[in-house]
Amino acid sequence: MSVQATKYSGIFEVWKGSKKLLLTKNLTPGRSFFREYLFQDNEEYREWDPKRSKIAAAVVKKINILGLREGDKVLYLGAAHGYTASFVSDIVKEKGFVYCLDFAPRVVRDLYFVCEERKNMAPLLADASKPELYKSRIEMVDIIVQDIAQKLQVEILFKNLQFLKPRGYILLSVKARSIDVTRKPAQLFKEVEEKLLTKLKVLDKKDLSPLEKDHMLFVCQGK
Amino acid sequence: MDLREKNLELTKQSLKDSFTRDILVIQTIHSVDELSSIINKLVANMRERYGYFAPSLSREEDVQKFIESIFKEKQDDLGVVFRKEDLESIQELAHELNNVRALQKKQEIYLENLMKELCPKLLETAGTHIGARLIDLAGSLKHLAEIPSSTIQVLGAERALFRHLKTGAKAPKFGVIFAHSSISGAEEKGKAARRIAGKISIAVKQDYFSQ
Ligand SMILES: C[S@@+](CC[C@H](N)C(=O)[O-])C[C@H]1O[C@@H](n2cnc3c(N)ncnc32)[C@H](O)[C@@H]1O
Repeated sequence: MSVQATKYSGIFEVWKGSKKLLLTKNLTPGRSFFREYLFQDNEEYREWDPKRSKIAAAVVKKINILGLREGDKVLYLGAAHGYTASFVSDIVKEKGFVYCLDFAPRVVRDLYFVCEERKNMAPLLADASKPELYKSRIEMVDIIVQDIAQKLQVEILFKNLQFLKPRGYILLSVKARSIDVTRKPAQLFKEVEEKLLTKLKVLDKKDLSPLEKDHMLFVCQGK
Repeated sequence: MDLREKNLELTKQSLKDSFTRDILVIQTIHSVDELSSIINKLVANMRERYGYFAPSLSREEDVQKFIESIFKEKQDDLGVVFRKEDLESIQELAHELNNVRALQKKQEIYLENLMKELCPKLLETAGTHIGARLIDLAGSLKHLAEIPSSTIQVLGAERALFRHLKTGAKAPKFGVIFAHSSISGAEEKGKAARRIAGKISIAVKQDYFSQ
């Protein structure tokens, strides 16, 4: 079986036995950073595990649109070790760039090594709720990815909209439990959506279960 | 310098700046716990093995006495004959086990010294193990100094707390402070837990804000 393009820019798939794998073209051939499976078919691809990545999970669940394209500049809030960020880096390729921000030093140490080898990624050890502290270290971006599992997720996103180009995209992953463990996820997601709608267009949303329980991925666009 | 290089450089520096010595407390209590688990597993394994030669001695609960018995080579009534090499091999294990136990002691002394320097009052009120576990669970000395004493009281009982919030099950009375001598012995454990958590909270605030 050979690698097939999907409707999403830079994302491919291939059948391996009875399983369909998601892939991206490896920007650093020969190198894998998270023990991910490398797949050869003329070029080298990396397996992208939807159980470890909410964006990949949304692709498996056939989200309408991702907004990620080759050449995009990306601000990634909550990049952690850089797993998903490294696939975003594959998708936007050499001309694109991913600013990877996280406030936990231990994960940023791992992230640093990934960014050192991938020329279109840079690490920032910073708090996403204090954009004034990293303003001078990034540029305007085409897309903001946010996955920070925090109570005030939408407020934090809004503070970062100043970095989004007009009509830029937003991929926001919301974990119900981080907002309130006692309340029903569906209700919380509705409230998040209402808040988002005050400033943004919501293009699509996908409940990520069973890949990620009580998680919702929102795709938004600046007005 | 382009933005990428600038960010790599700044991140390198801020990673270094983010280091605080309470991280060593957290890492060392992890080492101590790992060593405990290694020791427990090895002791169980050696009891099983030595039990064919000296079944009653293998039931000795005191670990030190059990290890010593291995060097006495005293076959039990119920035991079978072990060859010289059978005994030597298990003695070799016993010898290394003693080394691991000594190593664990040294790690604990190092941990205690770290805490004397960083959080002497916490050390005094909570002891080495509970104190270090609390720092670990809070994530840092700073965070432990900032959270209310009611949270300190249930640190380490997150699952029970979660169940309580979600299903209305009984709220947990204590987390890792349960091991504190003045709780395990107390009549009204919930009350004792609240009192100890309060004392710990004051101690750790004094430690942190006097730095
Ligand atoms: C679920 S993990 C992200 C996983 C990652 N997006 C991936 O798929 O590979 C959430 C991350 O958000 C970070 N985080 C939470 N709040 C933050 C904040 N205010 N600023 C920066 N990072 C934050 C945490 O340190 C953690 O690493």
